[in-house]
Amino acid sequence: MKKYLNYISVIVFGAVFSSCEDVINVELPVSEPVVVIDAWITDKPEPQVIRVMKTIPYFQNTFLPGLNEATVTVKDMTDQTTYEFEKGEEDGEYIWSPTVEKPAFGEIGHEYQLIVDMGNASYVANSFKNRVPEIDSINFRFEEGNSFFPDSYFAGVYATDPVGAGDAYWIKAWKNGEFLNKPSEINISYDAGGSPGAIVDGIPFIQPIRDGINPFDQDEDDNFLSPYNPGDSVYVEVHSVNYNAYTFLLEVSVQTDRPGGFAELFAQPLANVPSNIRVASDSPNDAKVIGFFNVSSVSTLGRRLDPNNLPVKEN
Amino acid sequence: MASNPGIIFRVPDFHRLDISATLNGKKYKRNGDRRKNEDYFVFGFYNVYARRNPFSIYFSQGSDRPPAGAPIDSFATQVSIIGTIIPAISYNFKF
Repeated sequence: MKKYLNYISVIVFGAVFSSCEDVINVELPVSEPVVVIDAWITDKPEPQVIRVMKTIPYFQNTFLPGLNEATVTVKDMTDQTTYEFEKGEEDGEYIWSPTVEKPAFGEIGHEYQLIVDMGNASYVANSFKNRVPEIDSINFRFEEGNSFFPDSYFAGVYATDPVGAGDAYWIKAWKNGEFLNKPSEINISYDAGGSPGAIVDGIPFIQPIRDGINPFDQDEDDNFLSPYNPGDSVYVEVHSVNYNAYTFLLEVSVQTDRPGGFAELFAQPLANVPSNIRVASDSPNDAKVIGFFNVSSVSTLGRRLDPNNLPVKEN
Repeated sequence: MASNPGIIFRVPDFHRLDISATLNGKKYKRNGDRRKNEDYFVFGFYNVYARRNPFSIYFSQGSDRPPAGAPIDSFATQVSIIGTIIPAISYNFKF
């Protein structure tokens, strides 16, 4: 009987866990290309790039073609200065470079307006440049392995949200110089917490946000790897974002982070992600635009993992 | 950005074949008396031609990190919940 039970369990488990996913070809109708504006401006002391492109079909895995006939300006609505973005060398790139008089883009608390003039149509968006807290520290901790994880080093980033509700941040992390850019690695916070629902204002980032800088990669056999190993470096940037940029990133992560498999039973339906860029009123009726404009203040910190320099565990 | 409203893509058809056979138990005892209980076995196969019927189709961009500036690899994946043949056996009785 035991022998038969083995056979039966092999059949049952094989049926349940056999690969039931196939990459398929889907014939999608071709729609008219739409203008895309990628305008995430920061006050890092480096050239700021705005990309003006047009959409391509979803399965055409190539670069978006750039549009080179645009005039790109960002206007400070608070003190009426303008930032002219000059056409760069790459297709569709428009660049503003810091100068001695203006070493970083914008002033905290000011409102900015992006104007992209394409000749026949123009596109407008507004954004505030919000405050950002300094990163206090990054630390590593060692945790012994369990049935899911090997012995692992986890990193945590510490910064204290300033008092006053309504701050939002995008916490970007790099491991050994590689940007953690999987859809599941979009780490955003509202004040010190994950969403506006709970009031967590004026305190250090809560643990899921703090630990959101760890890559959870797997080896060929789908076993988890330690996020960091001795000698690895981590570099973190905290970008202040507007509330509509927070919801945009949240929506992007919902739409792109698709683990598949049985999770599809509870998946959210496909939807277009809204944009904060609008078509100016003097443009033709059929002009359409997507993309996002946000001006950020940024604070940065990096650290290398030295196993001899870990906090001592208190018992 | 679907500029044309209405159906732009339809999920492929769902179809499958299940078969089953019933084996009735004996109605009479060896000595000719009618048995008090009635029983029968049902043997069957679900999804005989092991078709992977679509449960859902999702669009994603793979699990690797694209290098900075590289185009994103996007594709569609079809999920089938039970994409194979499943044998079944049951024993039924009345008392």
